[in-house]
Amino acid sequence: MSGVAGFAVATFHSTHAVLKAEKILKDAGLAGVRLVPVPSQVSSDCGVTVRFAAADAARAAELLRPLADDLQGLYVESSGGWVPFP
Amino acid sequence: MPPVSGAGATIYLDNGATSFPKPPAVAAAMSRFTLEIGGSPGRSGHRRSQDAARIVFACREALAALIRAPDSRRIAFTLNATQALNTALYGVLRPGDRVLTTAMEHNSTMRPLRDLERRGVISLEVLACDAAGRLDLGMLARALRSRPRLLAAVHASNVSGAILPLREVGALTRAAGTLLLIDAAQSAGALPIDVAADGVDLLAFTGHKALFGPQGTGGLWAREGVEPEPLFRGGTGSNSELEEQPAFWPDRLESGTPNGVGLAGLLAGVSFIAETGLAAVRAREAALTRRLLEGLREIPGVTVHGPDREEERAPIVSATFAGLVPSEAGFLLEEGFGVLTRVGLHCAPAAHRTLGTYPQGTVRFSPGFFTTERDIDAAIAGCRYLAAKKGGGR
Repeated sequence: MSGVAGFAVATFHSTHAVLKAEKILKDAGLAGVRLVPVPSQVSSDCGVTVRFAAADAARAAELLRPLADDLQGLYVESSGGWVPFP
Repeated sequence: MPPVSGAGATIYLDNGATSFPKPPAVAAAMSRFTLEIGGSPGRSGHRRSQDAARIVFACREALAALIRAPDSRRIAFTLNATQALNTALYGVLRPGDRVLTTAMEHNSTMRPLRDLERRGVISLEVLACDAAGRLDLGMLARALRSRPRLLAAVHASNVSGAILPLREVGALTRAAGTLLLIDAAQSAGALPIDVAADGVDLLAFTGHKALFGPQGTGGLWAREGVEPEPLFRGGTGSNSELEEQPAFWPDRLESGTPNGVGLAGLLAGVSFIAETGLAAVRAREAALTRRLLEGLREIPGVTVHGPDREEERAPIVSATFAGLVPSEAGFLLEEGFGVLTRVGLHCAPAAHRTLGTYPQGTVRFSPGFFTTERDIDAAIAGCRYLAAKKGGGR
């Protein structure tokens, strides 16, 4: 995944919340939504995170507001690393 | 594998123990999980793990919809209703708590409560019920005046079938500020449940009875603000850098690899109910229960226990035979007629004391959605034969 510009990820405490987020983003029509392993730079967790286009980060942040309790962070890719969004 | 002894014509009237048969989609979903998915839910990032996690997620969402839970995260999966009840009781009750329960409880509630009482953690008051197994709401209201911490009550008795008037009970406990823990082992999937409107604080259910799932599935729902301590702790696939158990749901109560294959089956079972319609399931089972009640009541020497009308019952009918102990009646029903029942105390001695059937218990007939009228009629015919033989045939 590294080297591919233009992704964002939202990380969550639980797998349940990740899947809820995936459903919300897909239902809202965001393109390219998929589950990927949590980037090691973001968290040492063993689970998955939901990935989407960085261009949709602001919209995703809005859509994922109901999951605020479970949201760990929203990150966008930047020169091979991940920076918090916004 | 051990041989199958159930071959041949049997009439299965033991759905109160576990439902049989299951909708065909249940076995198909479990087979698919085993053969085609096979990953550990929520543990690894790869597609098999993701597919497994999606099944667990979908199962949680489907159950939340069924019990009208506003937030599916608040359902934690367990092995069965017993584990859910133990989690609720040991996880919520604190030293000095006063607890109410009813004289119709299953040992899955009564034994944890008696243990907590014996160890001096709680004081326990057991509310008497009438001879049909019904709780008197006036008595409950009086007992709630002292504002006990929790009421643990069974939604539908596994012995008499008696249904707790859940909404009325929930209104009373809510007004008193008493937590309401409902044992929905017999009712989840069989009777309408709306946890918010009914005023329920904790709900324990099993997957393998009226929800049509496989054995080894169940769960505990708790409303926000009711946070049971886990019975055990371990890996959750989340917060792996921390050596403390996560506080958030469902992970706080779900340690270790979940029963993915079982939950795949449970999802198929719950989906069957959603597709059929809970009202249609209830109507079908109530009609069968009515046929059974009417048929058994006509037989001289047979006493039917529990509420008179099928509307007041889960699909469970307990009966006793004059001159024939339940164990013998059950044996003869199987040997002579292929009718499979459950006899004895049904793990609920308190309930049998209430009904006046302690210590020998009853013969329990529990039809299910797939039971036919012919099955019921054959069981009634078998009972009539046994009763006649005992009544004067010798």
